[in-house]
Amino acid sequence: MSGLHRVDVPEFEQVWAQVAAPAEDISRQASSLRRNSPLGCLLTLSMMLGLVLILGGIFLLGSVDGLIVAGAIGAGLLLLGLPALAVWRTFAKASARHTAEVVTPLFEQLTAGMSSRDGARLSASYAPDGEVPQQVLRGAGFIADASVPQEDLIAGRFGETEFLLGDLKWELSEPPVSEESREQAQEREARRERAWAREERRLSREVRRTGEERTARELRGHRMSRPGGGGSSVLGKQAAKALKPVGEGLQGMNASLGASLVFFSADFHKEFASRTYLLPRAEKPQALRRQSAEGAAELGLEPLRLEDTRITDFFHGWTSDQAEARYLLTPQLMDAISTLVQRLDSPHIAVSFTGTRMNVGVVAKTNRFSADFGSPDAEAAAREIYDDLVLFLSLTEHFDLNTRIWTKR
Amino acid sequence: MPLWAVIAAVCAVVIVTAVWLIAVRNRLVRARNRSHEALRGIDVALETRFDQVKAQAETASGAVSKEVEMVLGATALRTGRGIEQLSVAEKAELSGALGRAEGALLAAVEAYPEMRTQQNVELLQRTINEAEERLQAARRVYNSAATDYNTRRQVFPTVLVAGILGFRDHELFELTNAVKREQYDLKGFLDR
Repeated sequence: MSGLHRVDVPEFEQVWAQVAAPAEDISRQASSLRRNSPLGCLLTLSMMLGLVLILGGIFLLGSVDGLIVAGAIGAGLLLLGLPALAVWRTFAKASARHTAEVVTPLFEQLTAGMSSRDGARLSASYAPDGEVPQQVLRGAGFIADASVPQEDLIAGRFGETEFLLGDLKWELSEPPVSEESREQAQEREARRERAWAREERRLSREVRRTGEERTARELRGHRMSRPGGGGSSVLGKQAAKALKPVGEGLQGMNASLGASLVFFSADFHKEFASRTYLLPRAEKPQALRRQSAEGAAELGLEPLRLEDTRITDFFHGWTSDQAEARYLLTPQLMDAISTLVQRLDSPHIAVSFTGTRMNVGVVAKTNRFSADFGSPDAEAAAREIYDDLVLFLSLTEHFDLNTRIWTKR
Repeated sequence: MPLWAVIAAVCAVVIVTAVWLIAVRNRLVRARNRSHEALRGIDVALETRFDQVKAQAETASGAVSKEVEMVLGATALRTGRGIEQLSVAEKAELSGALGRAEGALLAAVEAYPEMRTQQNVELLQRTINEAEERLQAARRVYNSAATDYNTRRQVFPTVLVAGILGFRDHELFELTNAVKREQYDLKGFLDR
């Protein structure tokens, strides 16, 4: 039984027995490249030498023959770039193997054995390269850049409730506008908010009109198919990957190993037409949208002050309908959100109620649902992934979204 | 002290006091209006719930209909006033009575085999839950706005002039003791 939620899940030890062999093998493979291994030392030495040659070449620029400088920089680039590429390729291979041979079986066993106390069962699919449709991300209203790279899409139903769970690589999102002048930045932000407002209105209309049908259709494709939607075919993506230079390769490694924004979105169990946002009070990373009072007013939002001080201490609330916001955020749901905040221990958590959905975004410092090659303990790393999967997949039950005793079925 | 200085000082005090009074009054009016507006939300929710109960009672058998009529007849509505004209305490009492009437309707649907289809029970239960949740939301909005207004009214030095300017405390919408005792646990109800 999971500690936070009313769900039954298979014991980790039972699941681990099935994936222990490949997990330990992959860990051994990756450990050969750690800095304290002989090969790792060699690669580090090569990269340091490369760096010295590049810096030396730049330092001597103009004082010695240009050919020597060019040779030094060229050799430096090779000494730096080739080991980096080798490391990236090894990690990428290990990561892909880990996904296929560890994470996928963990997920499959969890799906087969996970159920709520009320008998609701989990039925979901896992797509390591899948993406939450950008329309859903934009609809959530708190994601700063809906076109960020993504991985690890889990989509399905828990009991009556359809849900989506994705991992957004927010560190690769569009950088903040700090270099621009303040006025330009504000103007750009205002334009963006107006565009968001139009998009949200359009989305709300569309969701009301087409219901779940469209979302399901898009999930089958795992990406947006409309022109300019930012999605691309799997084939195109792989071709682009093959042509990536070393620099982009390193960026890809950062994407698969770096920080995450775990995004959870589920069909809400009550009918509503308003928009309500709970945005973190803590200084936001570029992953989440900022909301100024002026911007909120332009979007037709007003401050929401709830009775639960745990919520008001952590979140800035905004809503387009005070009464409906309280209809959605019952004392029980506020309590569930507070418990989740305590459990996740992240200062950057956002919750929204838009369209017909409840959305939750959690900014994490480390990568979630993927291999941690820095850890020599394969079992501990797998347990962490398993615990994360249990935590996020049981959110539907934690928020009681399967209790459908209102007019919406 | 020259006379002009005294007159100037008195004028300054009068002007500052007048400006302060205007500012205080405007602040209180804004807060009071927000509270009144929130109270209208409760009226709407209560009216919707009242209409639903009446409609459901009409479809029920004579005995049940009579019982519902009796429960609602014991509220302040018997005086012929509309819901919006009732005091906050009377509205809370009406809300409790509506809860009791809904309880009677549910019990009737369960007791009479010809009425007890899964669809009937479920539909009735869903409607009751929805109305109850909408009402609790409106109640929380009102209590928040009324508390905000009361706080503004009671802080020093506003409290010195609030009464003189005609601003009275707003009563909070609280559940009656009977309603608190009657909170249902509906979990699993539809599974039966």
